[in-house]
Amino acid sequence: MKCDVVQTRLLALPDVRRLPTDLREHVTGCRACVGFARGLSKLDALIPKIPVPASSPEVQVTFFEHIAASTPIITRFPTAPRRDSSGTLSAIWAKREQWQIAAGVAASLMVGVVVWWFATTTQTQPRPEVVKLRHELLNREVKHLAALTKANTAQDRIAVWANFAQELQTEVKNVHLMAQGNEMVTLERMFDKTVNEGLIKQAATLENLTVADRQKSLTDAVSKLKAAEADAMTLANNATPTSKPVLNRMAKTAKDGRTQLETIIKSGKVAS
Amino acid sequence: MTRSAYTLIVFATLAAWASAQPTPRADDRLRLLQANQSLLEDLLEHGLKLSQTGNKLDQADECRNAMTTLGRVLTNVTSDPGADPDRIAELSDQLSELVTDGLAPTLAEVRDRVNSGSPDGPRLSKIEKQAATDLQTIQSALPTDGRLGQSTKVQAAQKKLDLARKLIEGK
Repeated sequence: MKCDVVQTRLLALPDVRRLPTDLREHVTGCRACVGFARGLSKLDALIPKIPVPASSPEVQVTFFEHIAASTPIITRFPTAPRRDSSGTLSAIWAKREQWQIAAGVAASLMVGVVVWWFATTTQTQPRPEVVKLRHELLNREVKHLAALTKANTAQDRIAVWANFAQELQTEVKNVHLMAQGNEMVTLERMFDKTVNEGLIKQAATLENLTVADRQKSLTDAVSKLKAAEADAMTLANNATPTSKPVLNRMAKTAKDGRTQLETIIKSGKVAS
Repeated sequence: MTRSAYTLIVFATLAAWASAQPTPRADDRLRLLQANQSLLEDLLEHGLKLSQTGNKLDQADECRNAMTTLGRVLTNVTSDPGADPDRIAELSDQLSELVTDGLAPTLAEVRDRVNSGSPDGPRLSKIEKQAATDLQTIQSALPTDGRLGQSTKVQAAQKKLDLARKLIEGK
């Protein structure tokens, strides 16, 4: 319950010293509301001390008529729903009209019929079972092969090789703690070929482009290699003795590849 | 209060659904890598060869070679009666994807050029014929009876390869 709701309800109480249970729970734990309740209590205590001027019965009647005729400033106090109030599901249910209940039941029946219809129609058509586990790297590599088959420009191929370098790095990240055999060496070899024989070789064919065009074509590859280098270095810090040297070598491959690409951007030539 | 409870239930259901999705664990990933590492390296070599040519027919031919490499692994898997249908389905999917997204559109592109007078016609039909034959051989290696033949995954693989072959033949 929020403090403003509590304080509004406190204002509406005939005697602030007798708090209902739900308000008491809040007020005892809330410094602001305790202070507010104390203030109200003091005000209540001071009211009888206000001097009352003597008045005639006619004046009293006029005064009460005036109060009754005024439009109240607050007509309805906002309150939080209580456990026994009409805000609960059971209270709402109790208040419902019969037609509402009938409509609810009809809607539920319709949903049931639709679910039953789907279930029975799909059972009659044999569906291929879902393949449990797929090798994401193989999946990505096949996609890259398809992309390379359709590639028309060096830029298309550069994009493919830069993405594949990144995916190899992801695979390394996923398996480096478990790998005990030659898997890491295989991934390292693939990474090396991807960077040097795939990416750099394609980048080297951009020599006839302007510096700006080379920059545009290679910026993404440079940042991917930079990320791969940083990743490999981070992983190497906590790697197993088997994986650590491989990761260090991969970080160096990524760094050298990035340097090569930056040289190609500037001069159009591969550094010797 | 009631609204919070409903929101919590909806999020809990979504979280349960998300966590029920098959996410490979590190040991599963390693097992997959061990199973595929020589295939991955072989496919990488095909990729490097594909990169070295800008000629569409050379690209199509190298893609066909990559397809036969995948097909060889698939045929080896299917020769084992205890083979996992999931493995057959995965390799068939990869193979049909390579054909659908790589080989078939490239062949179609060359076919259009040949129709416009390009002299590549004889080589194109040679590659098409070779690719269709290779795919037919791979497809015939898929079991049609026994435990594997009964598997809906293997049956679906048959259909995909059939579709891929029709694409190569330009049907």
